[in-house]
Amino acid sequence: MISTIPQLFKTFQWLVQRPLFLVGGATVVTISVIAVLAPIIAPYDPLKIDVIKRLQPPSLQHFMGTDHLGRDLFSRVIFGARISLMVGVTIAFTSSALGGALGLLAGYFGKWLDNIIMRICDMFFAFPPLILAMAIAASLGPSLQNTMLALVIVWWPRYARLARSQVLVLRELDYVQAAKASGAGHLRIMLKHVLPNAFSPILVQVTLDIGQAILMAASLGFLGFGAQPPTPEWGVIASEARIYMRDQWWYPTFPSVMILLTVLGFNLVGDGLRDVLDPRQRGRLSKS
Amino acid sequence: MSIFSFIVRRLTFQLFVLFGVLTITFFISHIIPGDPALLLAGPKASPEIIAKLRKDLGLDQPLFRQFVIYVSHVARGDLGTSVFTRRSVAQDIVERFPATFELVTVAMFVASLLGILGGVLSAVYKDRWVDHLFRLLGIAGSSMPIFWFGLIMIYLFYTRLGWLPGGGRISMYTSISQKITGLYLVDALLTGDFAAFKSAILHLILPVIVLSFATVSSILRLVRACMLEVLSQDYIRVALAKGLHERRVVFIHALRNALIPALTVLGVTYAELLQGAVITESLFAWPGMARYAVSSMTYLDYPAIMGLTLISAVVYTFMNLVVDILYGVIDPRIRYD
Repeated sequence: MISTIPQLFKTFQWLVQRPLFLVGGATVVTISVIAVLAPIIAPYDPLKIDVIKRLQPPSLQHFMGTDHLGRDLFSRVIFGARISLMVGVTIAFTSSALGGALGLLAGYFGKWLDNIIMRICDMFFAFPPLILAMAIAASLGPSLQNTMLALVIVWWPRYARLARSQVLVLRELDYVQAAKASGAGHLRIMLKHVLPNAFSPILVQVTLDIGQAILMAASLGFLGFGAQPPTPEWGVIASEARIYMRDQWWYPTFPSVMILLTVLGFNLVGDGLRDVLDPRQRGRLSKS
Repeated sequence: MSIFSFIVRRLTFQLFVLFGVLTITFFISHIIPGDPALLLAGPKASPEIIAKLRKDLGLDQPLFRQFVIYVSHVARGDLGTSVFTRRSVAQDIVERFPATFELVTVAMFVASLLGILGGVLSAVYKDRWVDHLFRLLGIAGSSMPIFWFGLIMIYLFYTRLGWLPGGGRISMYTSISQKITGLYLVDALLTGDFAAFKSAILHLILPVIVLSFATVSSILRLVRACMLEVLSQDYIRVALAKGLHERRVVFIHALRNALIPALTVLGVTYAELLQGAVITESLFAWPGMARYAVSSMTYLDYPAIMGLTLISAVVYTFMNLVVDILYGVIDPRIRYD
C-alpha cells in the first residue's frame, strides 16, 4: 500500500518511466472527458435522421461521415463514449462490490458459508461467460440495462474467488489475530483490517475488467443482444455498419477504433497499476 | 491418489456442478417475463391458439413440475424439442457440433503453436525488438473487438484480393460425399477427396485467424513470463555452462517446465475460443453451434437455449478436467488430489 509522501513520489517517478502506462492513462482521461462533454462536443443530434445525406464520406461538415440514415457519425461515436464508459464502469464496480463482499465473507468465516458461496461460483465458472450473458440478456429482453445486469451476473464470481484467496492469507496474519484477541468485532476486522490489504489486487482487476466489460458489452450489442438501435452504442453502430464495409469502410471502422482505443487504454493502465501495487506480479505481464 | 480414482472423483463432482448449471439455466429462462408461446404464435394469433401452444409446450404447468419433467428428460439424453426448428434439440446440436469443434480445435492448435513459439522467442530475446513487437501485438490482441478484425480480414482477403473465401465451410462446387465424423477435414481425408480437403482448408483460414488472434496474445504473454522465470534458474545456467546447445536448453530444459503454468490457461483458452466462436461464426456464416445459439436466443427458443448452455458447460468443464490430468503427464512430481 502507498502510505507516505516519499513513497508517493517514488511511485510517481516510477510511473513516468512507464510510457505505455502514461499513454494508457492519457487515453482513458481523454475518452472520459469526451464522454462527459459529449453534448457540447457533438456538432449534431446523434439521433437526427437526414436520409438525403446518407453514407457520406468524412468531410469538414461530418468528421466521420454519415451513416445509412444520414445521421452524423462523429456525434454518434461521441455519445457512444458515454454509453460504453458508463457500461464498463458500472459492470466492473458492481460486480467487484458484490463478488468482493461475498468473497470476503466466504474467506473470513470459512466453513459452510465458504462452501456454499464457492460452490455457487463453481457453477458460474462452468459457463463460457459470453454465452451465459447472451442467454440471460436474450431472456430478459435485449436492452442496455439488461446487458449490464447479465454481465454483472457472469462477472461477480471472479471477484469472489480473488477476494477470498486474499482473505485466506490475511486472516492468518498476526495483526489480524491480534485485533481479534483485543476484542475487535468481525465487522471491524473485516472492514478495517482485512479489506484494505485485499484491496490492491481487486483494484487492478477492476481496471482491466472495465476494458473487458466494454468489449463484451459491445460484442453483445453487435450480436443484437445488447443495446438496441437507434442507441449510439459502439457495438450497435458497428453491427448496423457491417454490411457497408465494402464501399464505406470508414463507417464500421470509426466506432470499432474507438472501442479498440478505449479498451487499450484501460488495459495499459491496469497493467501499470498491477506493476506498482502488486510487486510480486511485476514482470508477469509487462517489462520488469 | 491414483489417476483413476482422481478422474472418478472429479467426474462425480462434475455431475453436481452440471446439475447446478441446469438449475441456473432453467430458472433464469423460466422466471423472466418473455413468453415463447406469444413469440412463436406471432402478433396476430388469437388467445386460444396461444393457450393451446402454451399447453403443448408444457408452459401451463407449475414451474417446479416443469423443472422435474425437464431434468428427467435430460437424464435420458432428451434435451426437448426446439420451438423454432421443430426438431429435437439434441439432434440439432449433434449436427452443428462438429463444425464448431473443427473451427475451435484448429484455432486452438494454431494459437498454442504461435503463442508458445512467440513466447519463447520474446523471452529469449527479452527487451530486443522481437519482444517489443510481440508485446505490442499482444496488447492490441486483447483490446481488439473481434468483430471488426473479422470485417477487416473479410474485406481485405475476400472482397479486395479475392484470395480466400469469405464464409461457409466449403465451396458450393465441392461437397463432402460421406459424412463420417462431421469434421470436413477428417472426412475429406478419409474418403480421399483432395479437392474437398483443399476447399475446407481454404474456408478455415480466415475464421481461424480471426478466432485465434486474441488467444495467441494471451498464451504468448503467459509463456513469456513463465519462460523468463525458468530461464533465470540455476539448472539452466548449469546446462549452458556445460556446453549444451542453446536451442536444446531452451526447448527441452526450459520450455517443458515453463509449460506447466501455461497449461492452466489452455483450459480457459478453450472456453475463450468457444465464446469467440459466437462472433466468428456469425461473421463467416459458419454453420456451427454458436450460430445456432444466436438464432435460438433471438427467438427465445428455451429448449435450445438450455440445451446449448448445458452442452457448452459440459465441454468447458470437461476441458478443465483434461487440463488437470495433463498436468500430471507433463510434470510427474504433481500428485492428483
